[in-house]
Amino acid sequence: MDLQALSVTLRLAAVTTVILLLLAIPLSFWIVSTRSRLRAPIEAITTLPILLPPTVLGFYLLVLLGPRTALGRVWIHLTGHPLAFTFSGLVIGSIIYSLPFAVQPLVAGFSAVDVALIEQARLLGASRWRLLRSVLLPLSARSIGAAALLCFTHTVGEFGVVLMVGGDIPGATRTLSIAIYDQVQDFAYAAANRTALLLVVIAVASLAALYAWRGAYPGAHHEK
Amino acid sequence: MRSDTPFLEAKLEHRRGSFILRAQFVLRSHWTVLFGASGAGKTTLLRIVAGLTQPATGSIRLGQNQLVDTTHKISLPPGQRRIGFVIQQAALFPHLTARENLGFGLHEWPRIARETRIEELLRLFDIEAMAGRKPRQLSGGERQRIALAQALAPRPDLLLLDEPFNALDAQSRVAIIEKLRSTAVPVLYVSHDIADAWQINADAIVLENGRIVSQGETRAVLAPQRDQILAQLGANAKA
Repeated sequence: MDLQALSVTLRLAAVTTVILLLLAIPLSFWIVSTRSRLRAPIEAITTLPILLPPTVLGFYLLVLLGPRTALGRVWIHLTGHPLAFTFSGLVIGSIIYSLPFAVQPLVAGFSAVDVALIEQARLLGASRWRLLRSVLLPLSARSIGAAALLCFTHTVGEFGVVLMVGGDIPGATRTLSIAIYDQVQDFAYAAANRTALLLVVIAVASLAALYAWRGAYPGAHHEK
Repeated sequence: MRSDTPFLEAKLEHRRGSFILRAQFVLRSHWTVLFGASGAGKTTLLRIVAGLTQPATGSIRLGQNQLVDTTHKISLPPGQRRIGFVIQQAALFPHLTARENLGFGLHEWPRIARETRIEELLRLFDIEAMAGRKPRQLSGGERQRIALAQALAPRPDLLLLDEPFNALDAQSRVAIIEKLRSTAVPVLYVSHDIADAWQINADAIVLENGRIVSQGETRAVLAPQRDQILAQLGANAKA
């Protein structure tokens, strides 16, 4: 078992999940509450990573994070090294790649909250922030949990973006899915089997937790 | 209780598809019944006064506060209008207890004042025993009393009631109306039930197809509708 790859994978998934939730909660709130014409294009952009091949996304990220763009140059100026082929670059790639897995459950959760409750909160003087914190978030707990589990599991299993943006640096950017690829290239099928089994266990445990939670709180959005 | 000076003046127009609501009215009485058949525009009118629906044109003044003036692009958000609104299905926050629901609109009050106000309303509506329960643990009538207390908690200048007593028996309805009257908060009360409206000592506004057709003392304004119903009952009895 490649423990270094396991550590990188779990660290990457945890950091990505936390940052994604912090970004996706306000973004999803904006999507469900805005009347702006930008809503449709923004929703389309957040969903795009589901449809794009990971290598396409990885390629553009590689270019964007490299020294040929202003963003890449600013990063190099600040840190002394490029974002590509680092753990930080990998986190940025994972955030973009898993964005729809955070935004979609949250948008669905916020949209399912009874409009009468939102109106009552507004009548009682709640600001947008208080509406989010005191009404939408508690009533969308199941969706937040689903978003967190999906982001974590999706990040654990990603391959194309990781390989393109992070490469295969042991201890820094080599994740479990890359380790399987390396093990197969080395004809180490027994090791590849153990690594693959671990990924399957993580995915199944996450989905079991998701469905158990859904069973424990059926119809949480609609209770009154 | 009736005053010469209106505390609410409204003139507004609102379109939704082919339906046009065009209303001009004043409120002088402590209680005003907004009477009309289903689809007459009663709920839309209340939502516009509350700030939940924007009128195409018009102005609304509540006391000294200009709530809406489309000419000058004024439209106060619902939370700044000092208006309470209770609808047919009590909109209580399901994750909060009855006490927390009552305190939701008192978020910015000092803690002691907030607690005092909550206790006062729990006593007024006889809901002290259920203060710690969540809405799903309460009956429809209990939830409606908590919704009324919640709307009254921030001491609004006007309370809008959109048929909130439909699910209650006559005795409970009378008891709650008496409690509401004791608070001295002016009420605009929607009803499509002539018997219900007739029994309330109040002013009435009659709305038909988006137009106000009469306004004045309840028994004078609703007399034609009452006579029509009595005539129909008489005809049915003879038949």
